[in-house]
Amino acid sequence: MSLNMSADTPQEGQQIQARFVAATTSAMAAAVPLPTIAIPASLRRYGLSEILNHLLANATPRPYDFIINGHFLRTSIAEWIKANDESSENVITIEYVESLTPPKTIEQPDDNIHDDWVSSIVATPSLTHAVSGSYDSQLRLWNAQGQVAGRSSTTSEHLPKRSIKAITAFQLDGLDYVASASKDQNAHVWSLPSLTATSKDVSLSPCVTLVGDGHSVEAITASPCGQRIATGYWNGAIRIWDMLAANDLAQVAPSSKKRKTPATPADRPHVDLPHLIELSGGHSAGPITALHWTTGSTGVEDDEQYVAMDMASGSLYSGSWDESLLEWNVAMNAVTHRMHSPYPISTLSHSPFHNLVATGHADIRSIQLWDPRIKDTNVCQRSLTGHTGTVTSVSWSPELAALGPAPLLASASRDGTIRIWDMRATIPLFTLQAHKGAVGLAVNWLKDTVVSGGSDGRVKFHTLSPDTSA
Amino acid sequence: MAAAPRASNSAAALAGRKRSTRSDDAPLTRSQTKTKADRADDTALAALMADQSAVLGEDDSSSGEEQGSTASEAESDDLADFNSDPDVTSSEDEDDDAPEGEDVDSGNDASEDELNRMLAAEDGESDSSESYDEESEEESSDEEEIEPAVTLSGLRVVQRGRHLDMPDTLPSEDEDPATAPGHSTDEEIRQALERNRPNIPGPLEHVPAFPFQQDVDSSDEAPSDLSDDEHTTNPVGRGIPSEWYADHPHIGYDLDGKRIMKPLESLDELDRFLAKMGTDAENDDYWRTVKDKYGASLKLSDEELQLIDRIISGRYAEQESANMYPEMIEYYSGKPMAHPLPQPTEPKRRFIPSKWEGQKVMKLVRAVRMGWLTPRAAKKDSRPKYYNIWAKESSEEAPNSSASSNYIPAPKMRLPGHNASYNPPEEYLWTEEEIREWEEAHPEDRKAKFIPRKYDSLRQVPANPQLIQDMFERCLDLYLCPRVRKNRLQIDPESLIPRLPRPRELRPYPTTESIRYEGHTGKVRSISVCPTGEWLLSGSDDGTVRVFEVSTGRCAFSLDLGQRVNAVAWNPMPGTFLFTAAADSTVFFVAPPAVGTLEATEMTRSLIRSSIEKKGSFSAPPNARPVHIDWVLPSEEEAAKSIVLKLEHRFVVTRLAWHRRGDYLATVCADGLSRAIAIHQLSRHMSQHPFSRNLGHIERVLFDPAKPHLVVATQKTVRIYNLQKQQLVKRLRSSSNHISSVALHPAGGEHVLVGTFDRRVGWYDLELSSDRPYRTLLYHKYAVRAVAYHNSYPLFASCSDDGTAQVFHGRVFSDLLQNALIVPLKILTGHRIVDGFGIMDCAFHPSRPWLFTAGADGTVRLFV
Repeated sequence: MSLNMSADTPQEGQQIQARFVAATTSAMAAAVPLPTIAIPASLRRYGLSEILNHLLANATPRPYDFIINGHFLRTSIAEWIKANDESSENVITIEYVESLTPPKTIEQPDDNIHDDWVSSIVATPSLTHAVSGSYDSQLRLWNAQGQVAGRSSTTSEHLPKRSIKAITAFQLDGLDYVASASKDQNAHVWSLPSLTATSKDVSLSPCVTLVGDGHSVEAITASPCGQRIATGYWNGAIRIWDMLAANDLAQVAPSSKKRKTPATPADRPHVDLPHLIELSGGHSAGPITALHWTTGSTGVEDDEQYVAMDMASGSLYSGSWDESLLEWNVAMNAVTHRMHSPYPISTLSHSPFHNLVATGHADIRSIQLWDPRIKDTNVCQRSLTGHTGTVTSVSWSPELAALGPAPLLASASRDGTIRIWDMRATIPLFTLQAHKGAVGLAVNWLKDTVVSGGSDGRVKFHTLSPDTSA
Repeated sequence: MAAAPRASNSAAALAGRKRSTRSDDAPLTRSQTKTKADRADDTALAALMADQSAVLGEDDSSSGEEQGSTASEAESDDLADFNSDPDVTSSEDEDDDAPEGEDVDSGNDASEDELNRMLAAEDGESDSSESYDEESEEESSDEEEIEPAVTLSGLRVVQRGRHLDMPDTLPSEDEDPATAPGHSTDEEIRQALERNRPNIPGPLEHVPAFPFQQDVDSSDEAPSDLSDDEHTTNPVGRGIPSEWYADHPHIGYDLDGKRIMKPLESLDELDRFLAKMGTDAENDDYWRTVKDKYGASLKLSDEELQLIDRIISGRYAEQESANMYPEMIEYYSGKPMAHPLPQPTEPKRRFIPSKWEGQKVMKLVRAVRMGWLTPRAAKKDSRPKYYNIWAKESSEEAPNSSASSNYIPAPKMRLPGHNASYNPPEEYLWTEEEIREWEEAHPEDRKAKFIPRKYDSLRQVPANPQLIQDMFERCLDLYLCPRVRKNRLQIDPESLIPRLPRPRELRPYPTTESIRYEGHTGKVRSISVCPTGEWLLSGSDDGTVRVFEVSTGRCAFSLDLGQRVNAVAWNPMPGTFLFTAAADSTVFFVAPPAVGTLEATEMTRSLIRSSIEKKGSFSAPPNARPVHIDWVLPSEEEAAKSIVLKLEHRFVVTRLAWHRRGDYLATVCADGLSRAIAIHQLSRHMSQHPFSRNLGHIERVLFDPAKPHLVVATQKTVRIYNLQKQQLVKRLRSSSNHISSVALHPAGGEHVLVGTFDRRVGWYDLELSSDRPYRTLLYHKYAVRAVAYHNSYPLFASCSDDGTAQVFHGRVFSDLLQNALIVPLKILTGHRIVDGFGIMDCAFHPSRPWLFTAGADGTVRLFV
């Protein structure tokens, strides 16, 4: 027994048999298969990368990440064998992927700083620009290079009166819109003009006001189709708004001269919109702090009548301080799944790829991952720990080949860091000291760029694409 | 045996009449009647003995039943013989064949019936007393018909007399049952007299009083008993008619064969004639003089004459005035008696020998005779013949048994050693140095009590000068020796500590610092969380009031009041966005227009506007005390800083407290003396001082969340006043000299937390009658600055100058049986101590288990 153990335990300088395989989704899948070689067990990522560069005969050495049994190798092979109770005599199959280069933060001039804390960031649906909302009730439009492309209009009388707490973006009838939630009890829908990479000094003004009733709007999200908007209030109410109705109102508005849909947002008359329905039977109390409407699969089959009514599809996830995470079928005004978190939820994001809901909490510092498909458990599937402050914002990346086979998760925390997580690793891929000495409050993805905002008023762009770094 | 003839005799003589049974059981009856009541039991016992002896004697007897019957009859005869009362027998026989019985034939009447009935009644009594012997008798129905209402003693007298002297009148009665009443003869009278006079042959002085009269009692029995032996016993044998002796001077023979002489005839014929003529004035009683059957003259008394009269006239023999049916004496009634019942009537069965006991004894005796029952073998004496007298001592010293475990042997003296010898070996003798050391030492410190000394011979040993002292100390040893061994309780001290739940089980509670609310540059004196939990208000020494967003920590509003802000408080009115801050002697009402929702801002504005409009419409009550507090509208400059109202006091305002409805505000001016506490009504712009006298240095005031109570904390006491009834509800006394803070439990306000500057936190339960704390928590190192209850979670917290806030689990049970459960949960640290001040204030989030602490380091922190 002890002999076996000693034989299994890799010694210092021991050689183990390893076989390098390109990850299946990687672009290098077509490369020639590599032979099984004996490598020292003490090797880590760097040593393995050297060997692999040598094997592949790369002209310029590239960093690689290695995946064993679906998990990133973050230790030496010997330690991995020990931790996973593997035998050192077996041939270890090591998948390799070209590792992401560390994100590069785009330098920005100081005049780009928001006057107040940045509360929320969202990418426009056309993925060319990012919009940030601030506590000074302003929106700001950023292009992919981190330059300010537009600001809130100074002349409109329909601007939010209080801080903007959350924003979301959606596309309807080919037009891009941004919706913002404000602490002045109303939410606003801003229409974006058609943007190019060079457009500058765009003036944003709200076209629709979603009128509330005395409670500040804490969360907002739009349906994937763009026809519905959901807002969450401090008193625990969730309301659904019909953007189609808003468009209809705008057409019949007296200020509108033309009967057709306005081509430019500037001509569009402003309308006040009452809410369509209020979701009932959900959260018991507390502010609705997070809403996310995705194309995720609903547990309930879409009924024909609702399809006929052209109601929004997809799932609406809502998180509240009352420690519940709900999945709604908005068409049926019903909670399809109820997950009980032991902690009040402050932010959430749903990934259709993994079908996981990532939540940040007000009490604890870890990110919890929930699988809404598992109906009979209230236990989170996974917990990502690493932040030293409570997590204020989480966001799943879009599915891009440049980011790897699966979406990544970006999180902002009160410790001022932005962390990027890969589900194959237990520790974050990258930790960005984005807002030193301040509080990170918002994070989102603009294609392969992580956009973050914090209490220092800055909106920072961290690009992960190796091409742009070159 | 005479059983058979007697049985036939009884069958013949007796047709429903019990008198004949007398002849049946004559010997036994006689013996019993002859004996006293006391002797009845003896007789029964004797009968029993005879019975047994009869049974045991007849070995050939077949069945027990048969034996019983035969034995009882044999026993009767045996008993008669055993008693050997020939007089009785003869007299009875004489009675049976008395010539008077024939005379009675001629005169049967109602009165005789009456007499017979009376006799029957008496017999009933007597027979029932003899029921042990008469197992199958016919007269039971007659017996029970009439219960004589006389005492037992009287009855027995009657019985005896009757048995002795009664003529047998039965045959005549049987023959002429329907004789007409109203007719009586001398003979009848005589019978009646004889029946009612027990001792006819004796002198008249011995005649007891009329037996039916209740005043006859047992005192008359003794002489009558004597007369039995002297006169009434007629030893003449059975079956000898008395007329045979008519011509003889004697009437029979006694046991010794001597003649029993007739009474002397004192009068001759002449004297009798003279007496009959009544010539002698003294001796005119001839007419009332009768002769008894023995020839003795008998002078009838007046009562007897009356009796005779009544019988002749056909009335009841008994005097009519005499109560035949006396009132029942209710010995056992429901009425309480003044005195205990001295001699309750003894039940009849007391005097009846138990038949079943007799049978049982018989069986036992038979069993003994037959050898079935043998005496129990004598218990073998297990005690040893010889004792080891020392064994006991050793056993007592052994702590084995429970009895000996309490035994404490007397302290023993140490046995003398070699050094105590008069001639100890040299090595035991002390050196000079040791002796000197011994002499210099204090007697209590000496290692030995004496110095060993060496003597050549025992007679040279001097007397012990310490003898008395030693004996006294020995006595003290014995006297002061503990008598009882104290059993030390085997209790684990851990088990005495109440078993508290683990803090882990009491989650959620604040554990870690989450958000820091920064911006103040001075000590943060006071914080307040808005009722929705959205905003946090803080007032600081730097003169600013700040409003923070709770969820992010962003300062949404800041107002510089220029002076130290002592207290801040949100207006709890729902839907409004208004708070108050006390700086110096002014209370500012602030409604920041740029924070809060549009609706709340609008509501607040309208609230203030309406209150200003209403200001003049209400006048203070006429008897109200003058109030020197002014409601002032802000200046332009102040209005620009979103101050909407001001309350100008004369003294520095130290504390603020809103009523939960948001209309009343209580302020404390610590130096205001009797005007320290003021209550303001926002909607009317009115102020008043609820207390007319100085309560002392007021630390805090609080409105009860549910009741119309005002809690006033002075330096030493907490008083709870009912504002509606204007009376003191409860006064809680603190053990410390300086109360710093007070908090009311949100559920009914039945529990009060009091923090003091001497580090203590007291939990008061108002349902307990004591005015002392139910629990006192002494965990802080320095003065406790503030205490707080959570609105919905069972949590409370205290913060102190030691820079920590401590969180406790404080569960209150609603069943009134369990006291509150208090569990210390967590010590929250993090605040820096500045100038000896740590955490100045703490407040719980209204809906989450989060604690806000206001530190002297200028930060407000959120612990989640």
